[in-house]
Amino acid sequence: MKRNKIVSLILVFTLLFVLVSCQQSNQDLANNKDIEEQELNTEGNTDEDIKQDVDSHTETSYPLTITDFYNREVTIEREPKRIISVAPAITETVYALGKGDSLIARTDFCDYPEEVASIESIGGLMDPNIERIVELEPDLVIAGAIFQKEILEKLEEAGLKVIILNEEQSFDGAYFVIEEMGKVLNAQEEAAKIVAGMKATVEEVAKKVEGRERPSVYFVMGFGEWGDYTAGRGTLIGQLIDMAGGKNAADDVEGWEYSLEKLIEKNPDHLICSISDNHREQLKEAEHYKDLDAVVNDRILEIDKNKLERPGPRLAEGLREIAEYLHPDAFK
Amino acid sequence: MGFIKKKRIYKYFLILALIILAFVVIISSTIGVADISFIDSLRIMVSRVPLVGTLIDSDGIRQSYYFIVLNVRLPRILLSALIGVGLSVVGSTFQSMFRNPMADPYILGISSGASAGATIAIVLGFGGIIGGLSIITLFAFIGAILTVLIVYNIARVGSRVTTLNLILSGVAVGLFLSSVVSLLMFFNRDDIEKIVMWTMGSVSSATWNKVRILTPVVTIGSMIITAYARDLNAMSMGDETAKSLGIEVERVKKILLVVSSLIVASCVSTSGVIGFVGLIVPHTIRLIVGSDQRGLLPFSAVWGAIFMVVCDTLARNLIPPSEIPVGAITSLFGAPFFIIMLYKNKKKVI
Repeated sequence: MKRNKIVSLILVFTLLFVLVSCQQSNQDLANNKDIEEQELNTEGNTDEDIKQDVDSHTETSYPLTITDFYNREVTIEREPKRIISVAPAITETVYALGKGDSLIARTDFCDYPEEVASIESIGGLMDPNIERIVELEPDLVIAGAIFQKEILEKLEEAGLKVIILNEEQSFDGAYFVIEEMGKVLNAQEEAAKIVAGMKATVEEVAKKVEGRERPSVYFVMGFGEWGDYTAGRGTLIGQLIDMAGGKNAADDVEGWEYSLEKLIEKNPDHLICSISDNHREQLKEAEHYKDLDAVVNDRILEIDKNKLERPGPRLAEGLREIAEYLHPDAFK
Repeated sequence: MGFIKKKRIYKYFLILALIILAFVVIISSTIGVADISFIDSLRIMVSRVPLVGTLIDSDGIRQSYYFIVLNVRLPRILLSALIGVGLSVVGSTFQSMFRNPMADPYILGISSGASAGATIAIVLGFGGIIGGLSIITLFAFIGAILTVLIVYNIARVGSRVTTLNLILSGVAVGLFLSSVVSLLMFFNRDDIEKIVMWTMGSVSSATWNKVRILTPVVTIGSMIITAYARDLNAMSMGDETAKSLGIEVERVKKILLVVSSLIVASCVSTSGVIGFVGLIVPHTIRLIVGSDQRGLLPFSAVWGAIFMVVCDTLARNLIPPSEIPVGAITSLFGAPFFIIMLYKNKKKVI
């Protein structure tokens, strides 16, 4: 009997030890992190000295405090040199701003530009690998709003700086992402250039398609056994079709579902489909789709879907491609 | 041999099992995506033990490694262990209580209730965190508890409830809630991925906070259930038989239901629906230890924990940097393991 009691007591004490000491670890880690940061701060001065004589209007001065999508105030001490991007649009923007060298990790879904293939991936958009992110010790983690709150908390617990950007699917959303990142990464001039360029393209397209007859266009998101999907009214792609001088055949629905019957009834002039999914060939074989006027006459535009979905630097390019396809004579 | 004589051997085996559990926990925390050496991980963990810690030279190990081992890996390993304990204990309990070898912790529709709660939270866009727990977790928990209450009230007659009615009610309510979840997913296409990911189960966002909350629920709950082990033995022979043996069947049923529901609701709301553990672990242990709950419950608990920790370690290390959902691993590896055990012990079962 006595031995049982001793064994039980030992077990209970071990359990208590473990739990108590693990409480401590959080505290200690926080303290250690502060010490580390203080040591690093003294090294940062030289960079700022060099930047003195450049026009202070376009240079980001650090430390910089940003309010992100979740209304968190994040303070960035110095220009981030090790960045992890957790969204394809953000990755594209990093490269477009000329800061590709600072990118140390990205997601499985980041595929543009080609250079990202040589950079390691830390998983998906919603479930990136926390261990790997912490191990890489980035200066900054930039993510989109789809990021899980719990993962955000975990990374903050680790002392990492995380910014969540609102990736609104629209041109304004793209401008916002580019400009914010320009600020954060000290590439404001570059960012302004990109945004100006995109706005110029948008204006040019608008002028060139003004007053022209709008052909009906249907975007093929998905078809076949799993249902028929398109970009309805209110989606970014729907907006792009409209801006490019077309009429979205699916603008009588909001969202992504469409009915095959309606599609056949509408018999759109043109179809747009995604290159990567190899839809064009499949459409020519697909039941009902192969009988559509647009398919029979091969009036199908194949385009990189990512240019139409990612609120980033290539959005204007996507718009231009659609416009040039719909109104080729306007762009000669 | 009677149970009393076996008791001594069981005690030794139980302690052995606990030691194995401790080993598995420690070794699992040295394995991970981050490239931390075995020795370093051990040093990191030992350095946290109050007295012995100061003796260990822990310079030269990066801060981030400390964080990874102590705050990323260890919480999720412990969370997995707790879930393993909770699900196995409740699985074994339900199997006796419902006199049904196919019973698992989710038989009363708790998992569907939790899924429905979580889905509603996701669809309404509640991504926030209150008091260390995400709102989705809270909604899942409330969903689970509400479901049990509904199931119980549908099945009861006055203050009594037969196990058959409970099962039927649980299955019906569970199916209904599953279709609710499907419908919600259909109308909220953008959230499908979030919902499915939640349902598949994951301990990747484990925190010490969750461990602190789950530990008392699972340990105290399991201890309460174990105290009713003899009653469970009697109940597995039928309500009438149990009553004639002096067991207050209705009262025991209610207590066990309440405690079990709390355990399962807590487990499911923190980690999603991890199937298979509650069904298979008790059966596997039963092949070794026999049907007596006095031995079955403790051993199921410990081996359930070991099983879950091993599965979680596999889940996060098989295809780095991606993580396979733990539920997929438990079924994938648990099923063949159980088949092998069954094959070897076919004769015993007859």
